[in-house]
Amino acid sequence: MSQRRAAWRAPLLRFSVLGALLFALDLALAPAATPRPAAAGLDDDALLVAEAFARGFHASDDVVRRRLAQNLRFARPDDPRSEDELVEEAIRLGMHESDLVVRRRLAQKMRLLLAEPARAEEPSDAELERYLAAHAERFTEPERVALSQLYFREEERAAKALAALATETAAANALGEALALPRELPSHSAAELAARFGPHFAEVVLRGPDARWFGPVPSAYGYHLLWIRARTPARRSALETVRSELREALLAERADAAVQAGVAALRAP
Amino acid sequence: MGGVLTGGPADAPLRFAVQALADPGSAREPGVPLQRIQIVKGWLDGSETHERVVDVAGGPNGASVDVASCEPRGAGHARLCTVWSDPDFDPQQPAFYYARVLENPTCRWSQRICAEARVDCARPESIGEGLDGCCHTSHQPSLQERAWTSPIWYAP
Repeated sequence: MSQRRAAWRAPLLRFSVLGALLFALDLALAPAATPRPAAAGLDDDALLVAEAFARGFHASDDVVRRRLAQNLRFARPDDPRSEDELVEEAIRLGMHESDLVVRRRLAQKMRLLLAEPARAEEPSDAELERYLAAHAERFTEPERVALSQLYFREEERAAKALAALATETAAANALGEALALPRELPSHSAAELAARFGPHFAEVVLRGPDARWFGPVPSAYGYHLLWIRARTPARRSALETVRSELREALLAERADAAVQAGVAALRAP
Repeated sequence: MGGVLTGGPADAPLRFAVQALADPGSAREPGVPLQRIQIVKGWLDGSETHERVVDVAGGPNGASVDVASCEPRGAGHARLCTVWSDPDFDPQQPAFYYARVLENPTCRWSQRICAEARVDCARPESIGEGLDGCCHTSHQPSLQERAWTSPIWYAP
């Protein structure tokens, strides 16, 4: 019993079953506007479109109605009839069955409809935490370093400056050449360093020692002496910092599952 | 971003400090060196508009790109920096100035597709399906990527 309850608490299962039930109920209650073709041999989209026709969505959806009226007006520019009459005529001619835009819209509408119950249920913090733990690799904050840099056009000059710094015969702020990048860089990830200094710079910097001058490290612009002021190790993101991404990812997963379950229900004999 | 300069002392020259760094690129897409910085000046003479472009740092360097392979040829600058003063500055004349920075020539994106497919316009059999555009007279195989600043207006 407890196992069954645990399974029921799994949101994917819950939404799939609820979705399928609602769907079956809806099928039973909806007056069929068009007979449903056999599900076998239809791909998911065609199946969803056939279901949309069966529910009469082609006659009720605003986007579809506009498209159908537009199609008919294109064929008969001088037709004085109202939009309602044109839509009726277009449907009688079967235009809704062949128009690609209409079919796409109806398939999309069916997907949204099937996903709706899953999307409507707000995930709890505990569910978000579980999702975060299960997908930790997608929600990781990279290692960051805050550093100071001195720039030199030539490697030799950078090496000399490093020697002077080591013997304390020169002060860091008296060394280095002008570059349109700051000497004091706040916390940067490897990707951010690569974007500013070039692709190989970041790897070398992250492996560098803390709290002493080292280098020369080549960049896209020349050579740098570096001092790592602070380092923040890589870590799993906290729930609060990635809440909206987590929520979206979890809801998207549930919505997908609900659509799959809905399609499976349509295929069931 | 940009700004407005109003009149200074009558005999003071108008000077601009301008510097640019090349895009460092990535491991997959290396950056392209800079060729030059230009300053573009515009002014009105009555109702007639004038524009003048001056190379202020770097300049013609003979760099090019092999459009068959999209390999760049020739050296350029990782950084450019200068102070430029306008030799024709007229303190009574309103004007605008902006800087633009040109990279060495590279393949246009469409030529990258053509080069990838090894299209050789001299050999019609090498022109694959949908790649006719590669050999069209209007196709521009190379270009110089550029960046430009907001204008600085001089309003006496």
